[in-house]
Amino acid sequence: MDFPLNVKNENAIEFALKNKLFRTREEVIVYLKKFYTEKTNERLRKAFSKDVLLIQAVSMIQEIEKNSHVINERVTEWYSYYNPENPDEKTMQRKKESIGMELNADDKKILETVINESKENKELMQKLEQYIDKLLDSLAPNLKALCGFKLAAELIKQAGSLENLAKMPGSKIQVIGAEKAMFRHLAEGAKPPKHGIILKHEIFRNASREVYGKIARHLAGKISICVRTDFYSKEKNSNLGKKYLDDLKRFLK
Amino acid sequence: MKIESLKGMPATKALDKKPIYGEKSIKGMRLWNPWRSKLGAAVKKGLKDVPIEEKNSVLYLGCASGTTASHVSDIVGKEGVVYCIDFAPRSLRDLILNVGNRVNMMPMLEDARTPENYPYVGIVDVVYQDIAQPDQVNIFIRNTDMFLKKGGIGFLCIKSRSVNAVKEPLKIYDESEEELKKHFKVLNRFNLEPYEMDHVLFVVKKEN
Repeated sequence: MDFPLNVKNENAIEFALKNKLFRTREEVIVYLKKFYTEKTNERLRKAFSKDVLLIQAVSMIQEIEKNSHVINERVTEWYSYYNPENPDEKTMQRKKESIGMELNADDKKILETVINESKENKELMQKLEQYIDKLLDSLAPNLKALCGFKLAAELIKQAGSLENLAKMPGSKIQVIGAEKAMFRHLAEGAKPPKHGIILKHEIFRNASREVYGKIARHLAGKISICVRTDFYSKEKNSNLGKKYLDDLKRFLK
Repeated sequence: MKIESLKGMPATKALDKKPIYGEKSIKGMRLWNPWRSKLGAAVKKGLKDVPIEEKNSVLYLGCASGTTASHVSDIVGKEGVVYCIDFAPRSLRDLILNVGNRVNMMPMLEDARTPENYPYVGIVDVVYQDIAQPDQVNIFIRNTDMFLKKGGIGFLCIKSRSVNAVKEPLKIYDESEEELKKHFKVLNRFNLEPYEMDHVLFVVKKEN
């Protein structure tokens, strides 16, 4: 049935009743519900692009990092009651003359479990990083080649999506992560920030402070082009990103 | 429809008992939280007789997860229909799961800026819009031009910060009202404080 696609410039329910497609309003509505739900479900299945998964993984890594500092301190403190001489060792063995506490089987068992759980956090983070690394090969290979997978993933996360990042001018990319400083500049007239999270790029390691601003500006420009290439072009390769990284390194000299 | 008040809150007769946003029900009436729903806030601020009737066809632009739309669904009842349009797949996904069993709510993943993509919605009795975009007035005019019947009612939520983040809100509301007057008869204008800051809800009528 063409309905409701053949509706134009009249009320859909009245159209259906007038043309005797259905007997009652309720019957029309049941049909419409089926039509719209199927159509929208189809669209929804395809509506999300892979960068949402990337952002979930990056966010998870950041949350685990935050969490694991506290947890690791706790584990160390707890373990130190057993083995104060080597509080970082985290194995259920200690010196014979250790001044640590007497622990029974239950105490040792739970301590061992806690230590193993906290190690699993580390493994989980590694797996997440591997996933992100691989995902970027298909999602944003040039950005990854230019910035490395960690910075690439963070930039996409901060922007909210690869599309958002592609639409940003280089000047905005340059200061992603420095929003507090940017706001102070705009609202209170403080000096503008020179760089945000792109400071994490390897190229800053051997550069002197005076040229940070210049490098940040150039890097941000190249990032912008890489992201746009990754987002808009049909071919997927990392040639541009690799070239730009070489160019930047040479430029630094 | 005159909106009943229960325990100091507006309430609508539940088309379906399942809570959508954690709202409570009393004897088959779903309490309408003015802190969560702008239309609910407008009712608290004086819109006791909401110009939406049973059996109406309503075009709802910016339905998100369906909080307000579910009350509109209650009002129009099982012989009415609510076309629920939103641009964000994440919100619409929640809507579908929340209101899937409400037979009168039609989920649509569409951009309200391009009404030419969904002409089959047809002519409706009411257009309700809650979209936080700088060109929100424009979007409203284009959709009402295409879909709202002559004599039909329009609801437009204006978030001043979306139109212009630094301009004085009052100025933005006045300018919006001027623009609306060119196309409609402006029936009401409700400031939604304290339920929403810097938000206003216009109720308009399409004369021709």
